[in-house]
Amino acid sequence: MALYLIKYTKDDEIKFVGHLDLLKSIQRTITRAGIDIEYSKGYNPHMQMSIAQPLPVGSKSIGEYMTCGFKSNLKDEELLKALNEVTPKGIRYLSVKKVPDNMKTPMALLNSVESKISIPGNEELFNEISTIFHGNSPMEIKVKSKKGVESVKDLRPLILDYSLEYLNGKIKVTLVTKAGSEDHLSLNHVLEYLDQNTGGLDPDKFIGIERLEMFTQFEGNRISIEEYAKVKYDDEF
Amino acid sequence: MNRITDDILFKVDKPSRYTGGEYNMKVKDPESVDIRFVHAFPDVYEVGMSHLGSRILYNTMNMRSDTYCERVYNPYPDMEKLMRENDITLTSIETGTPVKEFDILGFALLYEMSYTNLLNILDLSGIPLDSDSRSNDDPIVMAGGPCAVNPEPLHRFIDFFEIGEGEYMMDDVLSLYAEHKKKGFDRKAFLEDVARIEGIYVPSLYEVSYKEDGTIKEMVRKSEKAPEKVVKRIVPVLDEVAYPTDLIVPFCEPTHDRIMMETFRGCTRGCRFCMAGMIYRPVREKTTDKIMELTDIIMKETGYEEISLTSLSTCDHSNIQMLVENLVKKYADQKVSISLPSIRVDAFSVGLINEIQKIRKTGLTFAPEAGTQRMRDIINKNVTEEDILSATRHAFELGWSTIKLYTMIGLPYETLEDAKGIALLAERISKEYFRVPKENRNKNLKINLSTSIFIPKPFTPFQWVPQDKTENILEKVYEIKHNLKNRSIEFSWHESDLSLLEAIVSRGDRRVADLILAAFKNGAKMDGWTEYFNYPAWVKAMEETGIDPNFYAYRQREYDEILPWDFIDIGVRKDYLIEENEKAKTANVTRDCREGCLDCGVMDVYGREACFNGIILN
Repeated sequence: MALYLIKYTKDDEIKFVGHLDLLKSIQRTITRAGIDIEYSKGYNPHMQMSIAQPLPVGSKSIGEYMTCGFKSNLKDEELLKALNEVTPKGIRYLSVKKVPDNMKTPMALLNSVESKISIPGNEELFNEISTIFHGNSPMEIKVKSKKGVESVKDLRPLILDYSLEYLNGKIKVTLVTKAGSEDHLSLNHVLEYLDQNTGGLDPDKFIGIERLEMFTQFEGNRISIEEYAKVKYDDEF
Repeated sequence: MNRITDDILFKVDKPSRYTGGEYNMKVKDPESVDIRFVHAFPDVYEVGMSHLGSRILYNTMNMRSDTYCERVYNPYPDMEKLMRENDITLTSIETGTPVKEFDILGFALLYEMSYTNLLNILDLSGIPLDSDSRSNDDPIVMAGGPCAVNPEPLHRFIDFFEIGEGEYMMDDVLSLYAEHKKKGFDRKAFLEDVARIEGIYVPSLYEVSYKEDGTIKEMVRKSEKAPEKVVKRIVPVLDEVAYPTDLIVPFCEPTHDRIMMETFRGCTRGCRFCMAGMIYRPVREKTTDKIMELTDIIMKETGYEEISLTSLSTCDHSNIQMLVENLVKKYADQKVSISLPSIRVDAFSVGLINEIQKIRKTGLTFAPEAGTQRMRDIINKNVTEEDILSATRHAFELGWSTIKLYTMIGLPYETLEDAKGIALLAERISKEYFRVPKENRNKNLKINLSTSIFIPKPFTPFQWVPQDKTENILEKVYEIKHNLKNRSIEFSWHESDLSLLEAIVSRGDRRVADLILAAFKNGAKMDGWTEYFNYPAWVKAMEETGIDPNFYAYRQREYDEILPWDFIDIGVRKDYLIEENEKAKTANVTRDCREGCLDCGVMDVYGREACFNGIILN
């Protein structure tokens, strides 16, 4: 097997495609590209693919990651070209990098994500939101566990960085938040908090969410997963 | 009028039903074409994208450089509600153009219970429902598909129908439309002209009068240009007609998410209840080479992981064994699976499926249709009890343990004894399972026995017979349930309210159009969806229009009665159908016409070479 780290997008025109449908679409793109992918052994074989984190319906991204196990070694650039030739509009493959078979999965590497939230609203709402982010009191919401147990969660420690901007009737909130299997911040919780602690978000307006990048922690630094593979494995491959 | 925006999309279920952009979606500059066509499927996206005929026509039309064919579907009720609340007009998937702005709107008619959705699409598009209320600014509204063989219940709403297979006919229609557009388009002139194309029916060019007893007195032409008989159009040689290879690969998973590889059209079995078996004649095959070649291209252009070999009875392809072997051999390494959606009830077919499902054995479906030999002979399902038992025994030996059985009740000349026979057959099949030594069979026998209610259809030998009454149906259902002992048999049957409506509409005349319109106005739509089926809307519509189920569904028709669809010639002669119905009465069977021509009339219309074209090549 030859393992590859692939970075791709989910653009605006297909933001309403669900995670599983997107996955299937990528699998068919690989088949069309004529790339022989490895299959899992067993009763119901499936392609050797590992995705960093599902993107909700309605969200778009310019920083998605997956690893794929292919049957033979191919040049990174050739793979990239082959995929982009047969991909539907809205999924663009940005980079391909061969990595060792034992590299951690993108999900295991994932430590934080950078996202841009676009909230329709007026300047008043913008000011309210700014006050919340600039402050330092806990951002507490009630959350329910899968078993139905209610608890209070403070969102603030999970927000690593933020910036705010008001543009054409939209409040743009760019956030770097904890993500992955340990500490994870759901952006829906952020929106819920903002809704409860401002004059309220308009329930009839679509709130755009764009994932900009996914990061891992490497030698004390926050670097993108793409960067990580480059720094760590460039000599080997 | 507003358009669908993100503010709407984020509130509905599965928004990718509406957003398009699928791989292989056709992209053209609307300014660069002469004709803008929108193909409408009167059901939701997932159902419409599973229909092979729509897929074929979409690609066929888009092969023309002067035409851009786009798609539209009936929105799901959650979306429709938001559209109506927000004054949003229905738009095409490809370019988001309002349906009203297209030159031609073409509907696919696959089942009668989608007709209210057809009206819903017109309504959401702001197009007048009635043909004679449309102006030159409205699109020409056409329809085709299997249900178009009885177009009359839609005559008010549809400007013209295409009867038969669309590939060549559509080409003729588009060329004529382009000519008319060039010289300044006039609806009336176009409709008179289009009636001259073989296979086209323009309802406004005919008038129907009725006798006192409610039956048809006569149908007269209002224009010399309209043919007296509309002859169904066919594609004579399947290998020669373009078959789409760059199929759209949907994001939102369709009901049937696989490559549909058509193997042949028509069927030689002559089951007397089956409309498809009559209206798709003559039988024409694609050659094995052509199927292999096309499959290869489609696989490459779509990336699909499953191929379904489709036809009315795929195991009847003259070269099926070799075809399946070749496909299995070719795609074994690529984890591509092959499926046969309709298989015969015999050991040969079970063996064939075994070739395909060597490793994973999913359920196996058989359609014995009836429980007793007498009943199977009446409907001319040329299958014996021994065929059924040996096929299922073979399946159990090969490792299957889940079997689905399709049957019908309410068939003509049926007795309670025949209904009981359905239960007894399922019981005997379960005994076959236990006869296979324990070590040679898989555990957990499950027989899903499914029964539907027979509905008499036009152009079948049973087109004259009454629909079975609900009280009889309930009695027969009870008889089946009562006689089922084995707990591994699970019995299900379908409600009869919908069956009654389907019976009225499928053999309806022009007056039934009023019923459909009234039902729609009373809120009926998505009738085929159990959760949305609004029977009270139809009952009210019957009261309002005076349409009597006794006349349309429960009445025995006489052979000399003029039937609403008599002006259409599908190739099979009426006296052949009469002969078949007479044979049914005495449980007399008719052979498969591969074993010798039965002179049904198809060759008289389409030529001596029409039948079995391609088989000789195989």
